[in-house]
Amino acid sequence: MTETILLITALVFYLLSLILQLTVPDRKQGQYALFLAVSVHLGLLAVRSAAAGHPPFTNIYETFLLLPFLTGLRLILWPKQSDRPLRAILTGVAGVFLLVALFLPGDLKVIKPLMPALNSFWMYIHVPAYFLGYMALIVALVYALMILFARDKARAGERERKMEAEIRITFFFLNLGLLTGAIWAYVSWGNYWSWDPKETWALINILILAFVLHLHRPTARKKAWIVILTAFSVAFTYWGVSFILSGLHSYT
Amino acid sequence: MGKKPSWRTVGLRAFQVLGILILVFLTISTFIPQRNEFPPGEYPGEISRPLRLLFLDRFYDSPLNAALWIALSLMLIAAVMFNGIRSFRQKILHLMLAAVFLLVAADKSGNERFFITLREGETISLDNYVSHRADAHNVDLTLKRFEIEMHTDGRTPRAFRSYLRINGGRPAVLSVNDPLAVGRYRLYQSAYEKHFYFVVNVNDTLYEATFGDTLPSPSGPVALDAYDHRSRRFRMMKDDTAFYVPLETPVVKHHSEWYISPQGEHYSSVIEVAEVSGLRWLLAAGLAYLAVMAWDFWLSRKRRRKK
Repeated sequence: MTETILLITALVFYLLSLILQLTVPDRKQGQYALFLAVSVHLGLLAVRSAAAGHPPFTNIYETFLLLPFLTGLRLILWPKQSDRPLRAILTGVAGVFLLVALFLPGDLKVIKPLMPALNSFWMYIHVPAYFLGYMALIVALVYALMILFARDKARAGERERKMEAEIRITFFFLNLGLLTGAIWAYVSWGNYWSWDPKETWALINILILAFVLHLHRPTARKKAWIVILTAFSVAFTYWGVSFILSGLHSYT
Repeated sequence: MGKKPSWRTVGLRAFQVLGILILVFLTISTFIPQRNEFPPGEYPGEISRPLRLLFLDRFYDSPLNAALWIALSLMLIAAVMFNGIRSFRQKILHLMLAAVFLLVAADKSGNERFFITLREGETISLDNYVSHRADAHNVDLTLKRFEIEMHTDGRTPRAFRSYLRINGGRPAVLSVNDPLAVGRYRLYQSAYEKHFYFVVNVNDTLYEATFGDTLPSPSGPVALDAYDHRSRRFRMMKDDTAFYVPLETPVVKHHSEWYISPQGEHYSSVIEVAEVSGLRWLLAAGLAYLAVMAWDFWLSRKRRRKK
């Protein structure tokens, strides 16, 4: 009950922040509302962690709570890194994730005991590495969509540079996630790579994103389309693999 | 007349084509059941000839998969050697990556990995499982006791561990996420199996048995095959013919009196055994690759800021 109340409260504050950022962009109220949203969101994660007995990233519901939190936290800690349109979009994205979390089926929200293989300190490196990468990918995706569809083309060059920076961050963290996952698999299962569907799709994500760094005559639009394709691939890795393909990583 | 593309462009295009091929094969293979996931002869359904020819039903262990990754590694090395990559940091990065791919290929083809299942009190010799006898280490493993802790729901295991004795002497505990090094091998607590044991009374002689065990009888061996919960009876097999013994009810069949009662649960420990030579180099190459990537990104960012 407390968890749901905190979730709804955080969602309301994200929505309020979004409205303020859009209606009174020159004032700081939007940023204050965002700060409140992220604070309540932190409380939500703390409550969930206390109830579960472990950090909130072992199932899909918990990851729907964690990813928007990282996005919101980034906006709070580095506000000048993002321009106003990006801040508003990312605030909206964080709200959408929480909205989805709110309406996920109950059986996906149930706290399940951790399997022995998950009881490892590598979980605290492998999973956060991936989530930091996904967070950077969301930012890169927003820039990609701006490059392709925004009417204001004057800032295209700046957006391309920022998108490239986010791509590099994403690429690094996806590789870090893959490597730490391999180490963890080696320690737990004795096999650092078993072509499990989740592992294979994690590799596919990196290979797709690597194309950005290996383009012949790279243009902003080409990079943007590859980022969008990577985002679809990551979305499939995140949800599709768990529900459609089976394997060692089917943690729903 | 059009300008002839440079070798750098040709190399980059070849790399892109190979990358796309790898992506396509990997993507498709995740949607096709792989043969090594099923016991021999139990692969579900029929797969079309083109997919079979492209090894897509057994892609990961196929020579095609190995060839693609080796080709990628050689391409990376060639790009460094023939100055297709000019930056020093990028050269190191791509060489590290090629090293990782080649070490993985070598490890997957060279090092052995297998599963053993041990019942409590059972001893096995690892050397019976190793195909290249030159690496035999005369390692005997005995499972003294298997322990399992459950979460408060009573259904999900919280931890499980095997208390082993190695070569009759050295005691060792093997648990999940805590592998054991034994000579050239590493042991991993992979899983466990639960067996229900029964007391089978055959003409007043008692036997402890589980499904699959064969019991002696005056008319020949009889296997305890299965239990049907609905009818609450055991299926016994003698010479490919079934007969049934209800739970805790005496039955006379094949010149013997049969009486089966439950005894309890026993566990078997499933241990994965892997050879580990060369893996520390692989780990070092992987970590070095990440470190060089971070260094390269950081320096590039610094240079962009200066501009």
